[in-house]
Amino acid sequence: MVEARSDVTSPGTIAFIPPRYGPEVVGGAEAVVSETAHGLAARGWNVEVLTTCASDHYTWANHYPAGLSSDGLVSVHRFPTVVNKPARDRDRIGGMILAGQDVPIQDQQLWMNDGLRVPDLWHYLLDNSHRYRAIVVAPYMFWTSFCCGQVDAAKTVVMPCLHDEPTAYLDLFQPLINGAAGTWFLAGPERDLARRIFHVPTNNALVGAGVDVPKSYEPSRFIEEFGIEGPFAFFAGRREWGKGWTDLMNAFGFAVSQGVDLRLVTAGVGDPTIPSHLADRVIDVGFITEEQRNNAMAAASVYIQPSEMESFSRTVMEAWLAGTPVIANAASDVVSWHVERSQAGVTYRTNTELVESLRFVASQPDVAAELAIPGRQYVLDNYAPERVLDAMEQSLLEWTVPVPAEATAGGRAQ
Amino acid sequence: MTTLMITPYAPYRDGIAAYAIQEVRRRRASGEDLEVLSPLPSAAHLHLRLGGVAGMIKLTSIARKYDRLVIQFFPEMIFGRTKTGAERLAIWTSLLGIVKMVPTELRIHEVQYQPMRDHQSEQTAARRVLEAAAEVTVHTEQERAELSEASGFSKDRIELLDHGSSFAAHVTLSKEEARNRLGLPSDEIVLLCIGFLQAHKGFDRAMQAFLRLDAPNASLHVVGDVRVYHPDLEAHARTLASLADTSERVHLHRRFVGDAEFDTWLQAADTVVLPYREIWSSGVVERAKLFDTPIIAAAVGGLGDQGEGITLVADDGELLVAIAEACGVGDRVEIASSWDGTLSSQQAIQAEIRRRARTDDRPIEAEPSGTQDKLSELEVLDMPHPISLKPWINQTKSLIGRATNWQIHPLVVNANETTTALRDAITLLEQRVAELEAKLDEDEP
Repeated sequence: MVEARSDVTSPGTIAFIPPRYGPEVVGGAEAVVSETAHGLAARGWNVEVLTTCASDHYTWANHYPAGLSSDGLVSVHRFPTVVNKPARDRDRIGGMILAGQDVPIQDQQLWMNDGLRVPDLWHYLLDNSHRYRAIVVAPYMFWTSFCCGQVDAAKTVVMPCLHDEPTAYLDLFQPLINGAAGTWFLAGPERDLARRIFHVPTNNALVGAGVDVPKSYEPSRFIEEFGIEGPFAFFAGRREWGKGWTDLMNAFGFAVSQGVDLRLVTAGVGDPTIPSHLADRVIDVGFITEEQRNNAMAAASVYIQPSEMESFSRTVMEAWLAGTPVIANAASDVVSWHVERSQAGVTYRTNTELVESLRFVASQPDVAAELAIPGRQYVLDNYAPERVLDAMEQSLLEWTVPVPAEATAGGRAQ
Repeated sequence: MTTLMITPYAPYRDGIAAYAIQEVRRRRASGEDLEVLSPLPSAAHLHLRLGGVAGMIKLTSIARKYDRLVIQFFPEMIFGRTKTGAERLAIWTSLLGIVKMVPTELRIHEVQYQPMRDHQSEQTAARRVLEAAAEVTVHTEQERAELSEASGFSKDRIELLDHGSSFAAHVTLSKEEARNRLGLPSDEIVLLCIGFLQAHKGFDRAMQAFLRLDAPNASLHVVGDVRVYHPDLEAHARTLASLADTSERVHLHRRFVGDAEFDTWLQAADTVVLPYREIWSSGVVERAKLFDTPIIAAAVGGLGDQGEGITLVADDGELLVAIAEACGVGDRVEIASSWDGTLSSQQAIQAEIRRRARTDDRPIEAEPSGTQDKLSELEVLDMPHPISLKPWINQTKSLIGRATNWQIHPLVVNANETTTALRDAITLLEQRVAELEAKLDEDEP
């Protein structure tokens, strides 16, 4: 973590609005928000996180207490969620959206509002937006971003974390992106996609996401701690359909049947579904600490990124920092872009290609390890936290104006 | 003291919602303890399905917890799901109970006065509610006069409220910055029609007028989208698109526009053109005033009451002159002269009419054909709602609905989409037939 900088006066107060925030929260966008919030706070910004009381993005149940708390230099305001049940309209219209049907705008609005809502957060922002120099919302598709991102658009920076998915094409999101004071993109293909779908404001920057560089790795510690035997491929993240989990299980099962001698170790929140015939080859270690994850990255023969829906893919960067090659789903433009630029991994388009990629790692571990070498430098050159924060801070200073002292008064308490 | 405002609300894109949000922000900033109830789930604190008798009865039990109510009163929200006069009367009666129980401000918007004029019972019920309200407010003198005349409620008790009293700009950009953002040239005269694409907004009138001018240094931008999906609205949007296709200086930016982009357009424009065919009062006028952008508006509804600085036009002729002047070519507008009687054949007269109107090579409107007319008469299907004053019938219908809606809904969607697709296909087919016929005419010796 970056040390606090004490030699500057605060450039202003900035609000970050992620749908969830907290140590139990696993998610790329949430991680970027947390990292950026702490980084800017260390640089002298007054940073507030306005978020929900939820930790689970399936139920949105209120897990944390509402109210104000602090997380290091960052103030955290939590607001209770309101969730419509049984959300029939959301399910019905969501099905139409996923099926690629042309959904009328009134149904799009209904879909957005028939699920998670946070009226107290919205009104807090309505009452207090004048106090903030900038408001950052991410990712684009949650109610918190969609609604709060339009309360004071002139000072709102959207970090959309956009994927090429049906929801991105809904007219509903046009005002959020088109009307923002600025947009932060995490990767080139994400910006290209946004330009195809939206009228992206001229104020946009390819900032990437900062990735902390671990001081050291202890791969043997992870192996001992979890009793892992033999070489293994590693996957860390949400073990859900949308992140390629089901495909990974199918493909890995195929690889096993083809005689590939690797285990698959996975980590993340919750209980994943592992097919019974893979029970002795897939080892799920559940939720692990940052240190354990770093050690796992270093211990693995390869890191697998099966998700098509990536706007940055922090875990791929963590693998490269640890000197581990990456096998990634070529359907993700973003990860393919990283692999092409870094040359520190391979991509697969079919299960057969994945099998051969795994077979390569299993049979040529030294060559695979060598393949990973440029990856670390790629991350250091592009995604060192200070470098990313420089780009973010520079754009904030350019796109937003300081709030006069007298204007920071007033507002309403939570 | 806690106030409850009943209104459509964010994040729905709706004129009343946008209006209400600004008022909520201002009142809460001044320290008022104000909560919001909206008819659909939204950013409001509470939501309740209004538009029918049951909703109004439930509102009674909610309202009693508050010290004051503000109802953004417009017919769609209050009576939207009613089918009969009896239901309307039941709603008025419930509303009377509410306004007698809790001091209530009725902010009147876009009311259709005809039911009050046509039915004594409706007029009496409405008047009783208005008389029991703590405050009745409207935005224009025109609305005040009409409401009083239609309801029999004393005009003296209807207060005029400045439409833009709670409005604040969503962007702080210079004109040059606004144009940069929108990719508009800085040296061009920009005319703007902005808002939901609906026939009553009359944007097609502005396009027709602009197309008649030779103003090479000016452009007209029509910005917005349909508010809800409906075949008639889609047909109108297609008309606007076909008009925009006829000139490089006319642009239709058909998209869902947020508050910030809306204000950016207003700041970027040299003149805002609002040739409404009907309106009560206009939020766009108030927003344009925030940026000191000149306005050309039709002299309808209460627009004339919305302050100075508006060039009011009575008809298309005046609209043409006003637009020409805004484009700096006022001196080039042809003054219609009387006919000199040299033309006698039907074709020559017809051609002269079109020449004078300058509509000879431009579409007036994407006229639907007879087949399309029939299609446009088809109503957009909606899921059936239980409607009855007898609760047990409502419940029974609700149960049947729950059991069958999953099957009916895809059919409803399918039917609506089929109608649209059919209309599009017929339009295309008719276009191609017309082209072929024209080609045949040309080929004939």
